[in-house]
Amino acid sequence: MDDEVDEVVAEFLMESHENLDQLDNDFIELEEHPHDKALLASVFRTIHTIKGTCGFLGFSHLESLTHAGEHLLSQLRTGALTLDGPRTSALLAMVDAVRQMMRLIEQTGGDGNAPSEALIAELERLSHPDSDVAAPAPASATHTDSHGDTPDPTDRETTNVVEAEELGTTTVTTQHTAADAATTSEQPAPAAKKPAAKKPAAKKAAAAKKPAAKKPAAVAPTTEAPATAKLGEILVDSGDAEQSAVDLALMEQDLGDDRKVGEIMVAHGSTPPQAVSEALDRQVDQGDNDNKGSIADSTIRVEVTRLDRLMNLVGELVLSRNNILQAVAGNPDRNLVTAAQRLDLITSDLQENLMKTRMQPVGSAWSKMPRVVREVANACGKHVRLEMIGEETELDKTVIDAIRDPLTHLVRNAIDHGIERPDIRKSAGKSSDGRLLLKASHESGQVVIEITDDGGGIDAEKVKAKAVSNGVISPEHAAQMPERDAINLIFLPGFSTAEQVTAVSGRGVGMDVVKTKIEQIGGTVDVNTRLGHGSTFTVKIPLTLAIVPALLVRCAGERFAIPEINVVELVQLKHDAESSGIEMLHNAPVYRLRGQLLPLVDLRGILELSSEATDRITLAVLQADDRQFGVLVDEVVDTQEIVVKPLSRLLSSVSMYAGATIMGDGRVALILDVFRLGQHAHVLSESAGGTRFDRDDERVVANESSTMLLVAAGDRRAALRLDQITRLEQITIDAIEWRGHQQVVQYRGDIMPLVQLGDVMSAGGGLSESDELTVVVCGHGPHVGLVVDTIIDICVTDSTTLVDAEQNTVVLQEKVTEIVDVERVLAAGGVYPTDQGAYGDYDQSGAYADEYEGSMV
Amino acid sequence: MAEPTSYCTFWLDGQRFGIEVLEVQEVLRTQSMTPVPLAPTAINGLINLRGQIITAIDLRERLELPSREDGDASVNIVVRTDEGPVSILVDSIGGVLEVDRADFELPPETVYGAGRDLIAGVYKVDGPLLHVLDVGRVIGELVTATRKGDA
Repeated sequence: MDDEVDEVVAEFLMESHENLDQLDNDFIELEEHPHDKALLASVFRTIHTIKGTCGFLGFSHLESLTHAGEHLLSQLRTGALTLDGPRTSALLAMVDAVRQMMRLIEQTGGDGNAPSEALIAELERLSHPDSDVAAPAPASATHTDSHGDTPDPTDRETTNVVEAEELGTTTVTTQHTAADAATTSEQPAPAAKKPAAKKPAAKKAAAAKKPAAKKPAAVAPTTEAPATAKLGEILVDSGDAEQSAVDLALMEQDLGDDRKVGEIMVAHGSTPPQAVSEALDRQVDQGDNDNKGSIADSTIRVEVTRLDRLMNLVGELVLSRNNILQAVAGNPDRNLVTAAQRLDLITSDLQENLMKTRMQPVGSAWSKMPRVVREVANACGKHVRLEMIGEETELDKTVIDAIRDPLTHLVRNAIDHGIERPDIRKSAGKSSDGRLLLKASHESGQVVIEITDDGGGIDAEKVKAKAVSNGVISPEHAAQMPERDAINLIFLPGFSTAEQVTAVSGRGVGMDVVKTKIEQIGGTVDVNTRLGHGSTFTVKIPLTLAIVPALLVRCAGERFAIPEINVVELVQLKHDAESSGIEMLHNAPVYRLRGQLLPLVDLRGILELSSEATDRITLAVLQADDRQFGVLVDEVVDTQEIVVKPLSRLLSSVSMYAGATIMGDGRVALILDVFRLGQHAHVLSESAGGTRFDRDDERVVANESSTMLLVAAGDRRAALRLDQITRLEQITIDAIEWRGHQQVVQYRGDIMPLVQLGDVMSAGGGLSESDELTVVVCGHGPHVGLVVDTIIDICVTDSTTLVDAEQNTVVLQEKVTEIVDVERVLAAGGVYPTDQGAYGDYDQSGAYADEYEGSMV
Repeated sequence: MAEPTSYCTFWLDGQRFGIEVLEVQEVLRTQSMTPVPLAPTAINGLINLRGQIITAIDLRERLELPSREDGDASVNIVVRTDEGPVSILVDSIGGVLEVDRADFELPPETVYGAGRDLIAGVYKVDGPLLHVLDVGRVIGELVTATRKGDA
């Protein structure tokens, strides 16, 4: 028995949650079309259903709250009141409160002990026509005026709730307005029909408690679809009207009278209004029955975990299939081969169909957007019109869940930072209402979501200035930076261009988190902007996360999978160094691909694999983070659909892999994380220190992981933090001049002092015999040249790097390396004035602690 | 008299070790192992256990014992842990040994190195001593070590 009750409650909650989501949107739409009676009726019905059921189930607080809401809605429905801003807000607040109580019911089984008195009082206040908000709507009066024969509208204004005896008139009125709405708004019927279609079983209980006649008649126009019996037929059947009267009314309609049949007949006096309303009721019931039947028969609710389990099993099946296909290849038994091929087809089909069951329209991630837009726009004092295209585009559920937050953030951002205030818009010659477009579409196996605003666009110069003042980039860097790169700075951690921090956004966490989250699911985010015309954020995401097409490559005998989404093209190279086309740019390998220099990453090198020579090299051109780079692999094996499996936490220190997969032969292959690969190889920038953008860890990471330049000075190896270094230069010995006892060179129109790193470290070395000096140009203000013997490499330290904090040494590339803090060395070298003596107190014993920074641990 | 406990025994560099039977999920012969470049040295690679990808830990490396010679067979003992199943790579498998709690002794102070932390104690049984492996620590330290790197 108890179980039964629980089940009823559970069903009630489930249905109500869905209906409440719909309500959010209905209210927003209602605010735009306050006279859309069909919509109003559907809203009324939803609240009414909840109220009825919770009364039945004994949730009295929820009942009194929804009752207050229903009362206000009924006033709106009769036209006694108009829906305006404050009323919409109060009703939305009610929806929220209802949601909260439902959550409480879900958790505790009761609706709490705090009736929402304030909210109820507010709803009641707003239910009074003379509450300060709005007078009875003139619009509704004009509608009724046009009826001629219908009773005086003032009669209705004094009547509070629509009761049975009133039904006749209200029905006629609503019918008329619904017809109006049909000509103005695109599709009022489906919108209002949805809640009707989702009619909960619990509602039956609610409806059963009420006399049938009280069923809200206003639904009638929306269900008066051709599928159900015609109104005239019902009237004739019930004996309330003559067939001839119906024919006459239909004729008038044909002649251009756009009123409904029932309406015309009432106007003619050929049937009583009461009869029309009853007939409409019957029609509604018929419609409801039809809907209920079809929905219940054609859909079934399934827990997501069950689908997940199925998905895993199909993943296994796909692997076994691959296994069998491989084993069967070349087998002379034709029956076996045929069976394997059939298994192949069926498995693919099964996989595809199961994927479809997990697909949801992207609209389900958007359902809260109208509400978000309204609230953010109100908070910012802006007018925003939201348009959504392609809500039906389908995506895997896990992907939808993953993009919900980033999308919401982008939408908030577009309103807060993109769309201007109405006055600014007007002075710019735009309409005062901003336009925000959400658009989803399929494009070559991916889903593309665009968020477009027609706001002010992003000012590259402002972005640069901000980045410089935040210390994200140097002024020199900014000056050379192309506009496109500058705009992409907004995706860096800790960046925010909002001149004033608002409650909505501008707290410095934002776009970087959006970008990280989208990249986590293998997607990309990109921005296009035209100053003064608005911006478009383009989010590209894979359809599903579980099974992805991948390129299999071999390197040093091991196979690795690269998601095809990242692969741009493959280039076969000759092996011998001269003809391979691989050139060295200083010490970094590059390849000229159609006139463009493509930075290269040797997979062997980066994965520290054994380097036996192979006779073929393939260059896979990959793309991540809007940049391309080449990865050198031994050969490309195949392309295959792979099932992505996560790696154990035991391997979480290795960020290079996006997961692992099982190949056809049963062996495991690692999936390369192209983004991290690029970062690891320094092909992709690691701006602002950290490679990860987790908000909380940002600062910690910046300390823990540094990119270091390895140099040799005399007999010692030193590591310099890359972010303290501006450029690397070769300077001929002839260029060196003297200023006092200081060696200087002319560099970019400046006089740059030179410091011998070997001298500073007491490591010997000094001027090399060659007539070229390798100079590390340091400092973002006045430059200083640090003369080193050779540049060895660039490498990343992280917490797995062996560090001796006291001695400021670190083991890089298996050799002990001293960490040199450039600033301090320069200061000690007499180049920067400090409170230390010009040449510092250098001795070998431990004074280095001052010069070398200790933050590496 | 304490309740007898059963240990799954195995051999590693000539020493006898044991893992409590209840912790052991299964024992597998040499599996094709996919190495994980850049991973900590104690991680031998990944194996495919009926569609599940499992990380294999080289216990010799973990106990700082000399590496197994190339070509020497190894056995995977798959243990249940908080991180899901994990394979522990050992030289060869022994049998199941029932021991008496009374024969248990903590490792003496003279045991040093990685073994000090990873060996929970020894049973003075007939034949070679039975070293009791603390599986939680074998796994746990790797997780915390890598977590730091992950931060």
